[in-house]
Amino acid sequence: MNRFKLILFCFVFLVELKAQSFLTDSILSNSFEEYHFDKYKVRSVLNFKERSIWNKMNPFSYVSVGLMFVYQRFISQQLGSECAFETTCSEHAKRAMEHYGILKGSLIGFYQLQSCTAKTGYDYPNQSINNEGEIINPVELNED
Amino acid sequence: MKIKLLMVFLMICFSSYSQINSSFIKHLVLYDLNTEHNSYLNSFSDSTNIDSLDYFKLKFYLLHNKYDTFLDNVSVNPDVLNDSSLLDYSTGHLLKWSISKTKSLIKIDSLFGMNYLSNSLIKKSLLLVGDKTLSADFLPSSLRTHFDEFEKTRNKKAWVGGALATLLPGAGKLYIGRGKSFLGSFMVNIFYGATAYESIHQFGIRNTYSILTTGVFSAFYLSNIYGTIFDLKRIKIEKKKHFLYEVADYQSSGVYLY
Repeated sequence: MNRFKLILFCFVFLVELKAQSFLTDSILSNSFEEYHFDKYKVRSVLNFKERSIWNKMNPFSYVSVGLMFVYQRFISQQLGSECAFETTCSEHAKRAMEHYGILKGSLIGFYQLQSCTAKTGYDYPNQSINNEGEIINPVELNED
Repeated sequence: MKIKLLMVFLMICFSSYSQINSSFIKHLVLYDLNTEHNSYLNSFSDSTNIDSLDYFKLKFYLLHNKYDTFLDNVSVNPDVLNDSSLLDYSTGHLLKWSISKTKSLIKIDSLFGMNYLSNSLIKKSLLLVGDKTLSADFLPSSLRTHFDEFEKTRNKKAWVGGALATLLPGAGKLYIGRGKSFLGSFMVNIFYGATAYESIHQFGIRNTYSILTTGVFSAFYLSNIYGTIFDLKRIKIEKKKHFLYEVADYQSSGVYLY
């Protein structure tokens, strides 16, 4: 009977030891696991290098540069909302302004803003959706 | 007699040694071993007369999207244009990525090759996309639906979309085929319109809040009109590309680049 108890004790002890080591391993792996931080998106400041002198000298250009800078650096970061498009509305507007000028660019930006709904993706063919389910929205109209 | 036998044996040995191992290339492609793939193909010197080396190199360029190198190689070595299967899958693969590069390949084939692509489905489809008067009867039924979709979009007028967007915000989207975001656009415009109306009604037109709300409403309303016209251009390109992509997919289905 004593022998049986001894075997039972050894068995329980072994099982416990095994469970403990498993627990220790899981705690260790969870504690020291490499943590991946989301990369901070570095956003360029709106510029009109490729635009005409009118765009460079226009006071509205400076106002839009400032507004876009403040929105992207301080407001947008804290909203944390998901966008249906690959390029976010503010980034798209910025690129459109750089490419088409302030008036057309801001209208394109506002248009994307009012098009950004949860079901917008269904309007686009599969080729226009990236692997993460976002709509690919380049500013340029590329026919090639 | 013995010498002849020995010579035959030697020839067999040399020929088997100089051949490219296609199953090894398949392995390299399937396991995405790009550097090894490139090294293996470059391990055969140019002086080695292996027929299949050019084909494997061309497939490698296509697989890794080196289209300019691919076209340069085809121009330098027009013998590869005699291979119809290579032309079939290369045009199919190219068309998925670049329309202009596909046109270049068709041009190279007409200049230096046997003009095999002149009657191909891809060339006919490219012509069909550019010319409204051409008939689409040659298209198989699976592609016909995609072409009908493209044709429907091609016939849409920008001014109609703009006029509809002016009359009812968001209606232009319904016309151009972005129906899923109609409600969002409509609600945004109605909301800002109502806010602007209410603020003008309450505080007058010279009030700062009224100016601000009217400005925001104007921005959304005007962008709804201009965006509809701009988006229609994008949709036309999108549908054209989609149709050509389906043609390319039809042409190159079941073809693997190894």
